[in-house]
Amino acid sequence: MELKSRYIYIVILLAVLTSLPLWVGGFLRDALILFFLYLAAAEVWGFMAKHAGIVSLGQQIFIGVGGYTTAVLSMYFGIPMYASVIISGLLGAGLAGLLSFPLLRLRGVYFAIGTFLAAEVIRLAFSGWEFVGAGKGLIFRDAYGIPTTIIYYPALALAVISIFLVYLLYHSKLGFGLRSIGADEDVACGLGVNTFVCKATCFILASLITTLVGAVNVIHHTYLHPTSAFSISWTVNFLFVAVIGGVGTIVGPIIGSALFVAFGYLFAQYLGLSLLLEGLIVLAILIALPQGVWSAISRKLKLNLKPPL
Amino acid sequence: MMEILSYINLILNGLLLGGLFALTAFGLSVLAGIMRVINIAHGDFAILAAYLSLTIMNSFGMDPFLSLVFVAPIMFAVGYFFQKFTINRVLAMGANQVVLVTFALSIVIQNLLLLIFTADARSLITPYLLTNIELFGLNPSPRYAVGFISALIVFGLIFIFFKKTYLGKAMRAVPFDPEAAKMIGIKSEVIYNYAAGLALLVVAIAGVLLGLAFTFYPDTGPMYVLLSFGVVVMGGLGSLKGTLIGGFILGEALVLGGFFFGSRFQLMFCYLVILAILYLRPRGLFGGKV
Repeated sequence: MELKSRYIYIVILLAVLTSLPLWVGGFLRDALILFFLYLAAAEVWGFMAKHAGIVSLGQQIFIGVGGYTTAVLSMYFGIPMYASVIISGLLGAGLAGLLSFPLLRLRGVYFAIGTFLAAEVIRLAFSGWEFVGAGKGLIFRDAYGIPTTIIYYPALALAVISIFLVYLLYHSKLGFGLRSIGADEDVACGLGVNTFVCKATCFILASLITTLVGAVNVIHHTYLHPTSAFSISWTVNFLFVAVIGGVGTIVGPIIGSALFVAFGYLFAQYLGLSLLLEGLIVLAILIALPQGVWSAISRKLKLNLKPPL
Repeated sequence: MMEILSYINLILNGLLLGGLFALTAFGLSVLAGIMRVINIAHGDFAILAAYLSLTIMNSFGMDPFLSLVFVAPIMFAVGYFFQKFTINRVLAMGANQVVLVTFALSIVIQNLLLLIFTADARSLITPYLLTNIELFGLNPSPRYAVGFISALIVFGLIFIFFKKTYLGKAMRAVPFDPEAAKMIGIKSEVIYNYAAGLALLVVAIAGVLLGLAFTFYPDTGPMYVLLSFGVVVMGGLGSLKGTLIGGFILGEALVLGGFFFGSRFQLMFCYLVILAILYLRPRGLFGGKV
């Protein structure tokens, strides 16, 4: 494919996606919002896990913080909602920066459990914090009546930004450093890569996207509860979306997210069944097809895609 | 005087609980020590064992302790075959892949239990464990005491197993030098299978004892894996002595945390202690290699 025609395809695709809420029904709009939100978060999660070797089991921290900050700022402080979303993103990025110091000292498996622990601590703290409704949760009344035609756009924007971010990161100097860390952290360090700065930057950027996903999600769902806002099932879902298509690819999570949303609707009335099937599928793919479905397809069709795709 | 006595009582109960925590963490520690991997589904296996025991208790009217005659071998088989057919296949892809696989397994176990047993609180509590013991004016909790004594017995048996039997020695040899172990005819993968079986056998005992001491839900597992991880981090990987000491520290942290900060922030305090130790000693209190 020539470079020029590739840009034309991207522009057409974006034009179609932008006009989509005008002509699809409410149900599909809901599904698309979910699709974009999970896509945005899973792209960066997969990039971190695959290329930088940072497996975070605590991304629900940022979903929760994004949701709570947006709701609290607009309801208690009267800040306009779009501004609350942006502030929540900055706060999430700041929190990721702070957490980098204790957590990124830990490597590999230790980091994974460290993030899980941090997420549980924050969940328990929110469960006991009366200001944000403690265990009763928080109803985001200000977001009532915001039509999905409007929420659709920030969700789409997040997905697009996330994909471009992953693409640019992969090809940047930072991405080069990250990939060398993912391959062998000690060697990377020996070659003069500032491993902490590289990992922290990646973690902060990924968490910024995840926080914004949490913020848009709360506007869509209008309800917050510490157990669900900081639930590990967020990270399970990102894992599912990223793993199905292929961790660390850009196209993979698109397939994964579509499947995830379809699953959610198919098994909506069975409590736990959807997560059970998700877990089983992730298990099967990790063991039998560790490169993911997308990599297998692109190899079969001989698409010869370059790595981040 | 009374006041000092109640503090001593608190510390005694923390110690007793610590023994149980050490036993719970053993499986995680032994797998981390031998294979250099962390089993995220560790806590869910413990809860699975508790539910198995509950099922046997309810359908045959069997005492939870006696139910271990069935639960322990079942869990041994689960560990053996899960290691053989899944973990051994992804081991070469690195520790992170194992984290993802066991994380997915954890989700599967939790939701399977949720489907079968619903989200209701369950317990294995038996009447004889609700009696009040009085010892030199102290009130050790019989539920913790049973856990503590069982833990010491199991640890003693494990110690003998590692020192005296061929299999136990082989398990210690493999992580020490995999190449040399291979040279004298030890197949590391077979050893891993047995190690995972042993780990889950002990987890089964721990799970039943935890079920005796606390109520449990289908999603209680992650709490125990985090606490067990804390024990392992404090004690160093694969070290029996370290695991016991780590267990005691966390037992005290939980009991004292509950006393000073209330049950609401008890667990949070415990997690913060673990995070603090991870921060100060990213490789564990007693050294240890990952």
